Amino acid sequence: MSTMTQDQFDAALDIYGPDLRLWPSALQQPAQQLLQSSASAQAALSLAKRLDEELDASLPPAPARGLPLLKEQIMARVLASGPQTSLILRFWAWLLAGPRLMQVLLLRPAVLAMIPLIGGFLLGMSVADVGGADDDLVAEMVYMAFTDRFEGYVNGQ
Amino acid sequence: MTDASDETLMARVQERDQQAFARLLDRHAQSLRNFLYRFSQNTADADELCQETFLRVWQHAARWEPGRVQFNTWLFRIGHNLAIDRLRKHRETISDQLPEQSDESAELSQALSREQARDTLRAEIAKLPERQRTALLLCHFQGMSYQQAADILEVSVEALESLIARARRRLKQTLKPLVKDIDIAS
Repeated sequence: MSTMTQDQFDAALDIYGPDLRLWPSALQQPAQQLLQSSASAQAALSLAKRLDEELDASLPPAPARGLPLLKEQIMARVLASGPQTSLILRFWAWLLAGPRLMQVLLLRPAVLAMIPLIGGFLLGMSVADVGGADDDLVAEMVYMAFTDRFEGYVNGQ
Repeated sequence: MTDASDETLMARVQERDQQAFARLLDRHAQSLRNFLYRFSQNTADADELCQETFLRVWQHAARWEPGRVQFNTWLFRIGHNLAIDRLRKHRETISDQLPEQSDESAELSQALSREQARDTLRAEIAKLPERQRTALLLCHFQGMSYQQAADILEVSVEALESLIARARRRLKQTLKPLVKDIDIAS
């Protein structure tokens, strides 16, 4: 087991505080040994304990009496802001969040991937409608594309 | 819903469940308010910051990613960032309100009562660099682990240890001449 110097003890005291039980286990035993033999280590520990006590006394918790009203005010603001959330944001939150693994890893990305697919399909349908494609013209195009008699067709044979 | 974890409740909040949000508020408001109160040393500021923090949680719930960071860590990070922003905006005002620290601390200490000594310590805490103060408040007062406090401050654990050590050293220097007077007063 290694020994601890006063400087090492002071440094550990500043980092971990005066409760030696909260120090890393490797430091506890050497610190205890030093304390048994060193008056300056004992004084340093005493001052650190005093600092913690004075910190607690100097900065008490917030007065509890205002807390219920604060919670009410927060909830009122939340209730007021709730319906303003846009559909897109709500959809985004739904898509990216959730506690269930399947939901997050498979289903939601799948829905996300389908969006451009469906969009493309709808766009294609709408373009076809707008164009008002002539059935005869389509039939001729198909014929030209798939027949080896295209040349004869063109020459009117 | 009472026993639901923070993560489960946040998933519901992301789907705009106000009851889940109310449960999170019940669970964490006091702790966050205490932290903000100690940080700002002002009840009105602490309440306003606490309100703003929870409102941000509600409005930006979609940004929270389960598994990446604990809800509590995320909450305190938002609160801390808001507190820092406010502090920077009002830095001059705040520094004007703090009692001046005398260079002749030995002479001054003889005249200080216990409460005056604590006022001095409070002022010294308020004068700590922001990150040192936050590190000290999170670990000493909120009882957070060094890892969680480091996550909130977005620094390594080693950096957090350094912040705490520097804060304690500075406060001990302030406390040393006052200890004798506190003991006499009590």
